[in-house]
Amino acid sequence: MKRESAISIGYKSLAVLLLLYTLIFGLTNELPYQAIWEQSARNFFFHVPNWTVLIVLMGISLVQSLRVLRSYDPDLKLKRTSLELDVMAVEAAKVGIMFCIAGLVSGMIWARVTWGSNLPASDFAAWWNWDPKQTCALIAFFIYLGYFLLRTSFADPEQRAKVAAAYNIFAFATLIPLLFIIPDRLPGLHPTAEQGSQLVQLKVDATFTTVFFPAMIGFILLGYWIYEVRYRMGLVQYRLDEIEAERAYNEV
Amino acid sequence: MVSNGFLIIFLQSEGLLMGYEKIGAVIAVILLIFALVVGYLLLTNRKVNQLEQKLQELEGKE
Repeated sequence: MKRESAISIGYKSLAVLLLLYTLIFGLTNELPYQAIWEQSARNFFFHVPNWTVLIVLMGISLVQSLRVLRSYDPDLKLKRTSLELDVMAVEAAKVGIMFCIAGLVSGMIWARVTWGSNLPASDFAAWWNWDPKQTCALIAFFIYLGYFLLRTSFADPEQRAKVAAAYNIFAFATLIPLLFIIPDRLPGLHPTAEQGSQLVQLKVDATFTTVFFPAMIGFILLGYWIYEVRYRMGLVQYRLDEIEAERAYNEV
Repeated sequence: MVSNGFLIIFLQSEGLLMGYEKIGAVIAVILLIFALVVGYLLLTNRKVNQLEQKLQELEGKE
């Protein structure tokens, strides 16, 4: 069996240790009192890293998509073919969208506790407030959903790789304004840069940062681990399909 | 404090948790889910390593 490199074992072990630490101390550490958030501030250790992983993975997907488009340059000699790079781009986006769903769900649960606690659970408004950041995050989710739908509409793999790569660049370009710039300029329930005094208070508190930063690193490493496993599996499948097609062609 | 944790408040507010004696159980379930995720990743990782090895052998033969 193929042996794992020391770096690979190292980052995976670090991910497990940091996430275990985050789970235990994030749920049990005593936190400084925060108005409105109160104990729900603990969700910061899980909700925010989900979105960070989304940005990291969509960034990886963007880089792979750019490489797909560059791979058609005959002067460039890349190690991977355009279709292999396309597999890597789509797998990064798939894992990213999984973290996007986790971010939306953890946000809904948080909204229920902080903004919708006076409403019955059966009321949708208790979970979803159409706050600019929530709405923009949902739009970003649908934009990436469009990426996957677009891919299904092409039978030719080369054409699919090219068009999907171009769309992915557009999708990433909308992600940053949707998650940061637009919500920051509109009145809403999420703390913005100007309104984020609670956030600043928490950030400078040592009991908070000792969990938050390990959580960020742990989640990013976990996201990368899932991506690595998925794209390697995708590449093996791609190569097996290619070998099978070659054999079938030779038999004919 | 564990007894005031966000998750506990949430589960209690939804009527899913009665009393503080189940706090340990909730944390245990979360850790179990985490262990399952990590276990699944380790197994998949192993499977990918094996498949890559087989693929290399197959490509070597061709």
